[in-house]
Amino acid sequence: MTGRTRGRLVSRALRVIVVTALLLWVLLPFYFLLLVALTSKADSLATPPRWIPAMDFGSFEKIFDSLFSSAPASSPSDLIIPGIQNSAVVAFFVALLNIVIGSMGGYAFARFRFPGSRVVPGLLLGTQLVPVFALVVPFYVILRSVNLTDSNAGIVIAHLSFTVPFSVWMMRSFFKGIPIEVDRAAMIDGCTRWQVFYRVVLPLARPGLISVGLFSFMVSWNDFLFALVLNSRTDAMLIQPAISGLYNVREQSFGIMAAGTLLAALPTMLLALISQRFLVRGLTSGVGKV
Amino acid sequence: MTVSGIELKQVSKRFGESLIVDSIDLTIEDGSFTVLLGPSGCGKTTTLNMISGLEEPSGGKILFDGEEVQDLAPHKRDVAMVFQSYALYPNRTVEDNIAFALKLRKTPAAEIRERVDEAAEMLGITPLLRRRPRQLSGGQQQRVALARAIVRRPNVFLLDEPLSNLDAKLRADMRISLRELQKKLKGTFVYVTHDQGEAMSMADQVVVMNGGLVQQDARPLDLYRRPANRFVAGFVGTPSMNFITGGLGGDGSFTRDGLSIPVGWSRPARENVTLGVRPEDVTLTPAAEGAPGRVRMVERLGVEAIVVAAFPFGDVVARTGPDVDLDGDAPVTMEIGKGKAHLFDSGDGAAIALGDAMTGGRNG
Repeated sequence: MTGRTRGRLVSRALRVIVVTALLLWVLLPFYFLLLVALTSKADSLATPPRWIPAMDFGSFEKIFDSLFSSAPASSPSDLIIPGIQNSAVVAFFVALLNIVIGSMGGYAFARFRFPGSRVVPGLLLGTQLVPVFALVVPFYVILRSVNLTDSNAGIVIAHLSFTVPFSVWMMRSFFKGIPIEVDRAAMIDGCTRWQVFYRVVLPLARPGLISVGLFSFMVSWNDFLFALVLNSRTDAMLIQPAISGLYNVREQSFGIMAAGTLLAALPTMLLALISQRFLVRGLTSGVGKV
Repeated sequence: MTVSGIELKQVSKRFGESLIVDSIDLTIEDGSFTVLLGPSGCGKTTTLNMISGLEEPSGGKILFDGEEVQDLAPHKRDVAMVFQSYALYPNRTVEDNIAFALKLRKTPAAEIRERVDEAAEMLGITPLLRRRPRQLSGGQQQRVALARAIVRRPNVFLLDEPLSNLDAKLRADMRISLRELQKKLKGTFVYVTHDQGEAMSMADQVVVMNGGLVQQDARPLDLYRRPANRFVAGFVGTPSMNFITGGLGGDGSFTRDGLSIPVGWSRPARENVTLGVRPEDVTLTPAAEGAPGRVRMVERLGVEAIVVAAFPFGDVVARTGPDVDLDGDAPVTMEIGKGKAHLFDSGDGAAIALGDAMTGGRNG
């Protein structure tokens, strides 16, 4: 064996070790969640831990029970499914509105010159420096005065306030990457300004739209603070506060906590997996050399 | 009076503080091939964009067949345009790129197919219809951009440096194809370029622009033979015209540094004139030691040779036959062909007298 091939082997082995360590780092907590979620209450705290899941679906059953009973929520585990439903509606509209407002605002900043068209994009990014904590109380006061606390609409508005600036800024960068001649060619071909936007430019910015939608969906889904403060009534509760509720009850059930946490993580994980394919395809089939 | 074609009346364009196009007047005849020629930043592309409607004039009127269009959006003007970067829609196939304008006009599908096929046929891109722009070479993209323009059968075609991204061989071929296409379509072509060779070879009418002003609007040969000013004289022709500043004596000769070149121009004597003479109108003759000129370089190009000689008033470039009998450092005298010298005002550059108004002369 020459020194060179040995060196190559060593570097490959190192790479495998590093990647494996990273994978464990990321996946082990999830595996633990899965283990605990699928273990009966008695076994869940056993030492040493059982590494093979017991396939006890009791915790999941308890969580899904609330789907089939019309009785009002009696325990925190009954809030998981409604929480997921509420969060799904909120995150969906937050993502949708981010795509709509982000693309239209981004296009305007990328293509038109008007007072503030140069300064405002910087300010948009600057808003991301404001800690969201600072906004919680003002939002509570404002939304309560218009009766929008404990409502999905109110929380959508709150989430938009700190996602839209970034989305506009991000879409602006995307549109700037599309040569302006494409817009001009479309206008010459017979498009109105509006047709240029939605028939020509928007399809080219699809990777950007997906990124913006994904980003804002995740921010909204994962928000805890606004969800906790603005929507405290049980029927309006979102998923993150609902999960945290599981950790606060007297009769602690690690199985239900773990199952609920997994359910809460599932949508964003699936979304990331699905859209990753679109993102990559979108990027490669994108503008390229025009 | 209604003029068939395009008219620009006192058209200006201002971007912030800077005046890009300075109240120009221009008439482009229906069915002509007109080239807007000038260095970068001269306002030619801005002028084209104002004709297309992509830019709004800051002042003045634009008329198509006598009707004012300066306030109309591009899609209401029925012009087609080919861009320097081609600007194809990267996510659409070649076929969809060409058909897009027709689809926007809700043309029946059968007719769209027929017209796309016809346009593709005309430009020889039928085998490429299913491909996407990034799978095409520059020349092919160029043809797709042209097909996209002609498929609509507009009356006016605007071309913004369409050949500048192609290699030299392809560019030469495309000049011919473009001219043939224009004859076949009988459309009005307005073509922007900074390449005077393209302008001279294709145009019916050349509009030379500089500093936002029209310097001269003439047929190619008139431009070459009778330049309106020093800028046009220097911009058109390669190698460019020789310029020598000096004075005009009362005896009809041009003087500079004690040298006298008879130009046959008998008008009152004046200072501050510039003599212009094209390289092919200069003859450099070998002379005895002590002659005013000295050869600096001889470029033998095969079909011709370019000789650069240093004179007390500056370098002079001469174009001669390929078998020139001159070598570096050889002493030479200069001769200007009869009726070939041009005189320009050294101040504003305006032509005072053009070649055919003068007789030739000899120096040394």
